[in-house]
Amino acid sequence: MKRLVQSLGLVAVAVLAVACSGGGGSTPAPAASAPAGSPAADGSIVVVAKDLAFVTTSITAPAGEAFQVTLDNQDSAPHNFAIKDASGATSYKGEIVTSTKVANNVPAMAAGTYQFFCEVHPNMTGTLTVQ
Amino acid sequence: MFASRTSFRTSDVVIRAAIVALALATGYIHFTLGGLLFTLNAIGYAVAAVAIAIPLALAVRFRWVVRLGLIGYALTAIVAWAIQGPYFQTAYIAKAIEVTLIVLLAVDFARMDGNPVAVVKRELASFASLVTNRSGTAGAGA
Repeated sequence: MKRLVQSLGLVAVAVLAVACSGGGGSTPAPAASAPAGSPAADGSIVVVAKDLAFVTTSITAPAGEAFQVTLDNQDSAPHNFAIKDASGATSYKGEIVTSTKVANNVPAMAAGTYQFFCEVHPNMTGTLTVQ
Repeated sequence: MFASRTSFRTSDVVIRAAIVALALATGYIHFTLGGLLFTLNAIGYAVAAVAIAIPLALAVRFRWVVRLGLIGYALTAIVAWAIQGPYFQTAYIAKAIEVTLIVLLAVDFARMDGNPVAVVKRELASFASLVTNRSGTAGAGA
C-alpha cells in the first residue's frame, strides 16, 4: 500500500509540474470585431476559427491580385489559414497562432475554386473562390 | 494484487519520475491542440504514465511491454508528425520531449530488463511452456 501511495504521489508531482509549466498559451481570445467572412475596415477578408471549425466556410477574393485574409482564432487551440490548389498541393501557408488574430497576405492567384484549411486540424476546411 | 517490495536505487526513481513527467507533458501538449486524434494521443500518454509507475503486480510483471509499447507509441507520433507536420514551435517542443522520453525509456529498459531480444525470447519460451502445460493437462483429463 505504501508503494501505491508513493507511486500516486510521483504521478501527482509530475501532473503539477506539467500544469504549472503549460498555461502560457491559453489566454482568452479577443472578441471578433467583424462578422465572419465579411470585409474588415481595412478591406481584408475575415475568417473566424472557433470550436475547432471555421465559422465561415466560403470566402471570395479577386483574381490576379494579392489579397489579405485575417484569421481570427478564438480557440485556445492553435490554427492557421492555408490554401490548397486543385492538385491538392499547399499553395499558401499562414502562421499558426493561438487565441489571436493574424493577417495573411496571400499572393495573387488565378481564378478558380480552392480549399482553405487549418494545417493543425486538416478537417477544418472552407472554400475560397477566386474570381 | 500489489507487487512485492523491491529496492530501487535513487537513479532508478529519478529516471522513472522523469519518464512519467515527460509522458504527461507531451500528453498535455497534445490535449491543448484539441480534436479527436490529439485527445486520444493525450489519453494514450496519460495511461502509459500510470502504467509505467503503478505498483500492481500485473503492471510490474509486464512493465517491459509498457516500456517497449511507449517507445513505439512515441516513435510513431514522431514519424507521423515528420511526414505530415505541421511544423510550429509547440510541435518542436513536443517532439523534443518525445525524443527524450524514448532515450530515458531505453535506458530504463536496459537497467531493469536487460537485452530486449533476450527478454522477448524469455517471454516467448515462458508462453510456449504455459501452452504446453495446458495442453498436457487437457490431454490427461480427457
